[in-house]
Amino acid sequence: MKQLLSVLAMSLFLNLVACGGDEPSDPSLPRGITAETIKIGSHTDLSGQLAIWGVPMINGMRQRFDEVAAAGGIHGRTIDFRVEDTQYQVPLAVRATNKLLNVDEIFAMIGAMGTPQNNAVFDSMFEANVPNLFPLTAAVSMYEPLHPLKFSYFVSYRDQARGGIRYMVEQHGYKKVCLQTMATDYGAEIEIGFEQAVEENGLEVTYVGRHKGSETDFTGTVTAIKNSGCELLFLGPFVKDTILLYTAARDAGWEGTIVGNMVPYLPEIPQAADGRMEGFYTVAPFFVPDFAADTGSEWISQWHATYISNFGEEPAAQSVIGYVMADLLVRSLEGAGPDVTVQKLVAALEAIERYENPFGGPTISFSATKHIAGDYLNLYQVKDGKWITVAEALPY
Amino acid sequence: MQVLFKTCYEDDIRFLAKTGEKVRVGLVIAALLAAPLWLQNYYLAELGLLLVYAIAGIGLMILTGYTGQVSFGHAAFLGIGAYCHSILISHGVPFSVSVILTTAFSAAIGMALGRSASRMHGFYLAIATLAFLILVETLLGEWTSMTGGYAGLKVPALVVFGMPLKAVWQQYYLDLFFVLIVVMAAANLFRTSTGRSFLAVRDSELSARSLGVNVEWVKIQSFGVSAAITGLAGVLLAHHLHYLSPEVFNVLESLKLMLMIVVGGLGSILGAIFGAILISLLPISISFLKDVLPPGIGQQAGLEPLLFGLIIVLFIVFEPLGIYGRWMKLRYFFETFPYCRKSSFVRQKSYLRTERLR
Repeated sequence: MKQLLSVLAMSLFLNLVACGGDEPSDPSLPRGITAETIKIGSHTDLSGQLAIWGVPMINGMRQRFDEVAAAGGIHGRTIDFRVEDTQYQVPLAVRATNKLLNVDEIFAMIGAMGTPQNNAVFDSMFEANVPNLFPLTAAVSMYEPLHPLKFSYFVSYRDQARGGIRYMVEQHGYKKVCLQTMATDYGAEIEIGFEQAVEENGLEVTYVGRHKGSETDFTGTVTAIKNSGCELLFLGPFVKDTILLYTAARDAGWEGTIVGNMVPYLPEIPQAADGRMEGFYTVAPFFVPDFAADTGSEWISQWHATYISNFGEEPAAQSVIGYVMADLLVRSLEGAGPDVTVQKLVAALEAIERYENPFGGPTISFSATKHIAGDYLNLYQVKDGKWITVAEALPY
Repeated sequence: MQVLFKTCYEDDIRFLAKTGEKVRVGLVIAALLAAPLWLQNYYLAELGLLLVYAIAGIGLMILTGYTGQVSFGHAAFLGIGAYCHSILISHGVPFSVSVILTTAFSAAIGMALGRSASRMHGFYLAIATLAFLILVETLLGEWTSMTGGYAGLKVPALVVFGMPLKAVWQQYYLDLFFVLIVVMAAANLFRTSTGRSFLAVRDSELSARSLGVNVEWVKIQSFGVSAAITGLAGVLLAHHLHYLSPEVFNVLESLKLMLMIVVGGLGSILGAIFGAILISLLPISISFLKDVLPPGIGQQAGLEPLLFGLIIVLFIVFEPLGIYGRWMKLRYFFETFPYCRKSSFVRQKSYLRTERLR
């Protein structure tokens, strides 16, 4: 029990440290804003199963915020970026948000990872009037129902499935479609989109399968798909099982078209499984340049070199996304003017129209009724060990 | 050195025998009651969560620490508690009724599991409980009409006896109320013949059976009590999380509970509380450490699991009895000064190793 007391004493001490460490905030300024800094928070997975997404994304954001600091800040203010590790666990995300809101007193949240993690903290964030910008999940609940403080970067998984299937059906006249996805909230979203696409295009469903993240043998699944007479398979798993499913289907001699969503749209995929990913399609609301090839852009090679010198590794797709998200925030903070408030930030975000980010890909627009960044989807395919853009501007 | 003089039979079963214990427990309760006066909201919410985990820890402690039945599936009971409660109150059942129903439901499931697991030991029991956890997690995910499926379930606001408890301190007092009840109940359990038979089964099933203890029934009871308490923790946890999804109650959560009681010290209620303090405090301290440390170290990914792992390893190597064991030895050292010696804690009794009955 004495231990408990010392713990209490320690939390009191931490409390004092926390209060003493930060400069006293000026009551005339909104929360998280001082004369020199703007405090931005994020909670993401830095050490859990999705750290492969979280770490490069945060690095991409840091790179943009470092540029802000080098350029003398936004209206004289630099970004004070606070990142908390959630290990992709909801309880840790709730606690991290609690800390960011009540101790750090952030101005806005950016790139928070995970659907349940974001859903769990919406209420407390909006109560504190903190906007949730560009969470790292393409769930529908990130922008629907419309809320002034909710902004999403990604076109939802649901609409990716709809857009991808519609395009394929229009181009190739497929009638029989099937779906393989995961038994998670992520899979549930894709399934809704799949069902809507089936309804809209008057298709016949031959097979719907769900698996757990721990599964590695898809022979049975592939046989079932093959025997069902399916012509177009939409895939909604994570990266590893996408590779397994794709190669298993081709090994079994099934030649139908296979389309995935943005999740496996990664630079590593075309080279994966000794080039056996040839012909695999993905639909994604963003574009990642191939840094190894000549992109023809001075700016991109400069960015690439800076990233490597900053973080000592090749940028991932997520670094690019993180950079663009941070860039959108920086632009809207600039647009909000020197007396920035949450209202002005939201107004500046909503004013962004047909913005072409420096990496290319779909343009970005917001409006009072549209709180998702991407204007359309792109369709990519693996060809000769590289991602090739097959079609641009797919509606969703 | 304090010598206990027992002057009546009541002294044998008193919760707190020594004056020192009374003072310490009194001080802690007073400090906990006064916490909202001097703690910021963030720390108060963290303290509330700590109390919830302490309840869950006590639940598992009764099963693993006191009855010797290992369970890697206790997150399932947290999940059952959280989901059952959220579903009930979203259908308009009042909080007070829902807590009782949920606890009873969780206990019933626990007893059913105990019935099927009562003849298993060691690895088999661990695997059976793990399988139970996976089963529950899948069920929570697939039963979409009831649980909202993998998309999750929003927990309705906390309303107790028609009174909405919105402020952090109100919820904290609710947590504290349940912790005090659970600690009292658990302490009381081990003064009864039921509780004593738990200990007998833990120490030697064969001896317990020879003394006329119905080992299977004891295990069922222990699973039931343990599940009820963990389910109660699930109820309170739901109100801390605001949003439930099946992934919250996965194997990692179970391992966390296990780690909590092992590092805290198996076989003591205090150990469960120490464990809860450790696992709650560590992430906070690490997240503050990150701001203080140079960016090269502080922003390194994986700092937290590294420290977590290091602490577990250090405990298993240097103090298998956990924090509680260290605390007990420290206390013993001062109380009996200068008579404490190394052999004071060497276990004297040893039981027959053969446990095979048929």
